[in-house]
Amino acid sequence: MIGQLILSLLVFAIILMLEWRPLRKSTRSTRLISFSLYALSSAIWVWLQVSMHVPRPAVYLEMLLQPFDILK
Amino acid sequence: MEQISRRQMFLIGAGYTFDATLISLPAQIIGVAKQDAWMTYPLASLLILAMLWLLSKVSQRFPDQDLFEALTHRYRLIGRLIVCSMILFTFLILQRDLRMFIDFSNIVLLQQTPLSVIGLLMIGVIIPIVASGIEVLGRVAEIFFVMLALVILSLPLVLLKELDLESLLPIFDGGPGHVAKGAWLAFPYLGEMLILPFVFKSKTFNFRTAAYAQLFGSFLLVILIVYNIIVLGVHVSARFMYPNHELTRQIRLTDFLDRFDMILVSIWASAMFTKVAFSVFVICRGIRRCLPTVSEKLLASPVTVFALVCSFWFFENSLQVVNLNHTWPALALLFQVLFPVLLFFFLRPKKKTPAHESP
Repeated sequence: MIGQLILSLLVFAIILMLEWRPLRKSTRSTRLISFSLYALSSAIWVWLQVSMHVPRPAVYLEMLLQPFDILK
Repeated sequence: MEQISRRQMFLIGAGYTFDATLISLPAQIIGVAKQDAWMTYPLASLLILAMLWLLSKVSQRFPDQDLFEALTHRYRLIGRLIVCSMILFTFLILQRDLRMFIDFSNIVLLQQTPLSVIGLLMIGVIIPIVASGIEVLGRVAEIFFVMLALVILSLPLVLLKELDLESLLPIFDGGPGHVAKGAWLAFPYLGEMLILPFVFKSKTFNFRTAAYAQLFGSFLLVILIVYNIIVLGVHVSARFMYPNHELTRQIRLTDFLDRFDMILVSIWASAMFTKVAFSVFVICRGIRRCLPTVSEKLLASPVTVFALVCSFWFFENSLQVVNLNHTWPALALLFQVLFPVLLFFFLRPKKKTPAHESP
């Protein structure tokens, strides 16, 4: 878990380092959305690496749309 | 404001129809429609052309705006809700394409490389394309899609000795129902280009150019599926995960170039980057239309990184991506048929109140 956390923080830090200058000059809403998406991505990535059973949205989407599967 | 020419829009549109559709879908279509699979694309195209016509009429009502802009200006709340749902749908397409692209590269090219590394390398290409703007994206499409189209059009020549035209017979052996089922699988992929009027103003987007793009993309797909049937055969090609890759492996140009498929895959991969980059561009443009203070170029990186992570979260393996194709048309029906029809009837500019004449 700690290894994955460090890895994701490292990627997050590299991206921020590359993007920091334009982000600093941008608007507050751009910064907010960017940081939120980066943080969310890191959190999901760590969760995917650590958790044994991850619920997959594709499975639920398929179950939801199953009645409309005309090929069955 | 960056603008692209109609020719570039044609190439982006045709590429958006063609690039991802050729990965695994042809095998499923051939599995359903057998030797009549080549008829499915024209049939699905007819529906998409009708929807394109509806959207082009809506686009003409707002000559200085794209449809995202028109929706958010005309209906403040419902318009934004529709834009958000279109963004979400495009995001689903984006992360599905990204995952198919990563899986394909892993299975065919880089078997020992972890998926996450392949994904990171890919977004390292996609982000700069999107961050450079739509003009650069148009120029990238001008180079790589044209190369890809030329290669596909030359396939009949290089595969001449492998043909078995009898594989296409008998026509309508399974009845027209099978063709209709194949078209049901094909239409959401062909309909992805319906997003064009949402990001391009009617100065760039017009029905004729978009229709040509749709027809050209479908024509290239028909060439590929016909060659799948007559070179590999119905039963074999329906069982492949990547039938078009197997098809290109049959190409042997004399004795000195027997891995011609590697060259083809590299050209296709470059065109595929354009498709994925365009999806990211659409999402960033949509967010900007909802929140005008946001910079769409700076959103390219976080949106692409988020899509990459979600592509690993949504799908456990490549089979799940392929299986989703069976139910995907039901979801696409909402965004690619219902939305255009609703917009055609309800999205109109405000009536101008007549100015009172002074006595």
